[in-house]
Amino acid sequence: MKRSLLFLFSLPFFASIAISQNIDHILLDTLYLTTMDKVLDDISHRYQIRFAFDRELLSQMEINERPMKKPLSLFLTQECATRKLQWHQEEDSIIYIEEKYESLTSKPVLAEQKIEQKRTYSGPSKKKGFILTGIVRDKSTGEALPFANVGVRGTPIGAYTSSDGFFTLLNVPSDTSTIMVSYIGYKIGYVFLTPDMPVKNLLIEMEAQSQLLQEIIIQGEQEQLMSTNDKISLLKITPKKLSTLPNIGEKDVIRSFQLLPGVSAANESSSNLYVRGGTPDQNLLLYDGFTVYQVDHLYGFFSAFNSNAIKDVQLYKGGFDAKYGGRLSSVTEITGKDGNSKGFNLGGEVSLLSFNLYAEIPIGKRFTSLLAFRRSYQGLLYDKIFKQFNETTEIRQVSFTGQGPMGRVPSMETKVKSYFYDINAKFTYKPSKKDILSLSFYSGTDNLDNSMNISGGPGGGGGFSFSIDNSDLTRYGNIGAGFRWTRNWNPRLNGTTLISFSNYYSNRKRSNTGSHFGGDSGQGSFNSGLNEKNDLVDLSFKSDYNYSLNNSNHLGFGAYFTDYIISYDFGDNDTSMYLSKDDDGIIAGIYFQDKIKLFKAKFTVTPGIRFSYFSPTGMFYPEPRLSLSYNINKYFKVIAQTGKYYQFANRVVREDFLSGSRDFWVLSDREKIPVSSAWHYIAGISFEKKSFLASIEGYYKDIDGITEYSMRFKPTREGTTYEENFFQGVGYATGIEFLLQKKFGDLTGWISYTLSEAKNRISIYGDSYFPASQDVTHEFKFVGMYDYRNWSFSLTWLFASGRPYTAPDGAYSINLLNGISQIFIDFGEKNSSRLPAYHRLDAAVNYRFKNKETNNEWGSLGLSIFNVYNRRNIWYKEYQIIDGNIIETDKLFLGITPNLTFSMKIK
Amino acid sequence: MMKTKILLLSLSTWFLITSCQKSGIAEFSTLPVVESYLAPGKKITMTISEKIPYYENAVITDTSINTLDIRVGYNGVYCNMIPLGNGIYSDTAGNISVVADSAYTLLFMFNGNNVYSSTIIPSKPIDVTQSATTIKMSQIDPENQSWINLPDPVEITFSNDDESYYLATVECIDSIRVPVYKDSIPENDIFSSMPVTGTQINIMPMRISYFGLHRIILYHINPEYAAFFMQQATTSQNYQEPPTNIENGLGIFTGINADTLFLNVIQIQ
Repeated sequence: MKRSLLFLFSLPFFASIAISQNIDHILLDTLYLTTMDKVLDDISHRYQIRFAFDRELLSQMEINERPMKKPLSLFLTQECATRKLQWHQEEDSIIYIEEKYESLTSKPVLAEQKIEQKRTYSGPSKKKGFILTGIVRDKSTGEALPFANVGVRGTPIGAYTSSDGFFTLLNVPSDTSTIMVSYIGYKIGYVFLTPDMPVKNLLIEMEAQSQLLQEIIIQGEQEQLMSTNDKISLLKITPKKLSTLPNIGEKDVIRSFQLLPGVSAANESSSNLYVRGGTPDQNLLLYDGFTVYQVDHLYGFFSAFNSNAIKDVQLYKGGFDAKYGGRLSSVTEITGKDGNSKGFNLGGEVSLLSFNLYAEIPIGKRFTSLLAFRRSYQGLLYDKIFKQFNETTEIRQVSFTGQGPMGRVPSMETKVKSYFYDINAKFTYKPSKKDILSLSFYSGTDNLDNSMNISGGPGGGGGFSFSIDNSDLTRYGNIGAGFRWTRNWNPRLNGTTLISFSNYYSNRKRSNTGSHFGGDSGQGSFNSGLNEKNDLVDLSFKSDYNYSLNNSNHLGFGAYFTDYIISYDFGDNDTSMYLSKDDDGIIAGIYFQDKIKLFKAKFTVTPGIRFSYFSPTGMFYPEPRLSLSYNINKYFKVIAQTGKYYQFANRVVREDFLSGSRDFWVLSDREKIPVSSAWHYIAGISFEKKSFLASIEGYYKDIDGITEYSMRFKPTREGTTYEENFFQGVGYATGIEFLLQKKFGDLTGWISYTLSEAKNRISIYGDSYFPASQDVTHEFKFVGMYDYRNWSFSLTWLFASGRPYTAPDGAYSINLLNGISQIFIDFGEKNSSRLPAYHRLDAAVNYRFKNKETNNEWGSLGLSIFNVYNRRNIWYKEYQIIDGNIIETDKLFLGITPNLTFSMKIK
Repeated sequence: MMKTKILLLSLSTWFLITSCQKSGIAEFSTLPVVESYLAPGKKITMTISEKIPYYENAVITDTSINTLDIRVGYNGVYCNMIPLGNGIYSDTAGNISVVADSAYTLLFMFNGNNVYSSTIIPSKPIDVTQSATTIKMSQIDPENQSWINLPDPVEITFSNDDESYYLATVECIDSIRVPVYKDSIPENDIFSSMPVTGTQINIMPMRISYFGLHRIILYHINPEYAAFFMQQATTSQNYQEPPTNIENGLGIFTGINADTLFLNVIQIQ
């Protein structure tokens, strides 16, 4: 027999040996003291048997046995049984030896081509080394599944689906190969290729967990809520399982990221993401490609995104691809649902806070649409949350006027009139198999009334008394739309072009009027306040392409253009304007990236470059990127990444000790607001098995061009020039994250711990680094979920060390030339005090309603208890200074808050 | 498995302990507060006090404000200030003359830090004129009077070629006090204008509280003093750092110069 016949499948990891016999008649009687691949070579050579196996895998398995005339079939059975292998002989007489996957006995992924759940084809292959293209989608709704992992089993050949579910596999070994598809929230699926299957536009459908029959659920492959990825610092969350987690009033996909390592959970009032010591504005949030600038509702308690309209969310915690830019810290990419393509669907949810309706309307086979609407209503939970912003457990008054302590605790009255709503819509049209056109729309608005009345002082007799009528009205939101065209030009080239519009707006009017009695100045009244208006318009165009040279080399390139128009007005009660900025600028650029797999795909190197032009400075900004990943073996992987990142539109913090700092969007310029930049350095190692994952990642971010706006300093003695109150500095963020995740089984969850530090240095505050406002030293998170039949239980516990704040240090008086003594309040060093540690336990139980005949889930009822042991976590401190008196107010986060959510859908 | 449990337990204990260490209020930073106005022809005097801590449990160092070694320098010569008690220090012997257009420095140690300041004595206001030495006005009854006739503002003019700061204080020095606003008891018998960098200050009659003789002092001041008036009121929602020209301290050490005028406010019966 010629050697060429022995290696029929001359593939990277496959070897085979030809010629057939009845294997039951072959009796082995040779002493084998070698590896299993060599044993098979020997058997093949001696008995003219053809094998197909993974040579790399079997070369690691040693055999030390003399079969003593043992039949080959028995020998294979015994050797495979001890090595978690299995074998079978096809009609072509080739003996296939494969790893024993439990999934082979499970219900596999289905395709429209009616792929059966077990390998049924047993004939010879007809095609080898071909290109396979296709789409992965949900079986029940027809939704394309973005960023799913598609690969040829037993080989390093693999790819991710695009945001529209497309994938391309180059050089597929044979048309009898097994395609493996995995997507978070779904069963791992296997498609057993046959020669009569199409190699273009293969439609692969995946089944979500809830639609599978209970008895075929396999422990090793249950759905996960969270997954890490072979991309560096990438986390994914599936909206499908969100309802099992505890929530305040809404299942919240963005807020759920706060349960993950590296994303701070110490600020429960913010659905913004504080990623690895970064601020929320340093997180780029893309919704179907267009940027959203306001990501929360209700003072930050809820994210602005209706989870019923979301299909997929990915968070890059750092080291993101050259495709993304304009932010220093992280990227959150949200893919909206296209809508059910198989039939009309209507669903909804009602909780103690809001109601939520969505409809999926397909028209014909080419058009799908999704409409979702959510609005808060004034229920029990709503009142509780709003009162939380006005209620305080402690109001502390300190007098520097010699009036003595207060005679009674101040009282407070609140007014509650706020609400929010949001609308999501997406229309998708597929004119051909190569093209997809979609129009996404998002609008979210909050109308907030945080007014209150405080009065206090002695109940009678002398001393200082006061009354404050505070009006605080805010309307903010974001409206945006994006028109996207995706085309698969050919199996190797696909591209997406987007034209988008996004508008963030915020209008806040706050005023304090009141009177006081006592103190040095006796009786008096005061009237102060502020008007703040911020408007950002983003008109963007971008075009992204992927080109696969071969299975080991994938190019990404594209171009982008953004026109920014940003205005900010900040004044005092309409009478004077502190700051008025009206800027516009263009960012335009190109990027290029090459993902190269080396050494049998064990080593992946991805160099990239992004090159931007920013019109306000007239300068070019190159951003080199490099990421490395090396699979030490099947379980261990090390990663490293570095890159430069620029940010041109920043959300600058307006420091306000008294009523809490706020921020506003401004465009960088040549003078007062520099273009900020950061270098990322990331390294990590992970150990991953089917059942659990352990990982450690460390990071260091060196940040330049931090800007803060503060009115507490007078820039010159010649008068106040408020435009000069922008102060620049540098900063860094560093930390190490530990994650231990149990991925499968009835009991799943994870434990994570993050040790981090984020510090800034802004010369106006001194020469030393001070803790950044988002600095949280320790964060520990526990997430546990347990499934029992139709019930799911979950428990989360968070612990975070206190965040820094600037506290008043003391006061003093100076006698002026007119003889009047003036009192001055002095605050301490910037962020030199820390709030008490934050911790919270949440619990939830969820019952899924299923159709007894189809086993489809049609609804659920969930009870969630937020902050079970009613921890009084402090949100921030507020101060009022009235005639030499400081009135300190602790603003608290929510205490124990139960919530009930009922959801249902037609399909 | 046991090792993992021990590791997790150790890790949890460690971070719980270490995390507690960082919470809390920042240490109170004791700072001296200086109040000193240097005027030609007057002995140098100053008051030293300490910032009052906001939190009751603040740790205050026991630096005595009455035993400080305070020196004031002029022309390279430093003179020790004599403590008079209650934080008051003075050049009782008059060793240093305060002279217009001269520079003076302040130096002393407080809690191991060098507290330092310097100032220049402004020139005496020149070419000072006032538009009226007497104004007449009726007593105002705020409850029953819908229309108030007030005399024109009194214009104080002066030369100010370098656009430096001037302000005026107006104080009633009459022994018989008849309030301008009927049945009122004014909080103060003195008021001051805002600092100006021009050549004119207007004394607005509506700010006058009493009928009778008033002393108008026109001060030539330095920017560090003017900064007190540029600040937002302390009731503002926007906190501003208190102005000071004291390094490692608070308060003010500044030179002033002045001219005095008089204004008689006569009540129309």
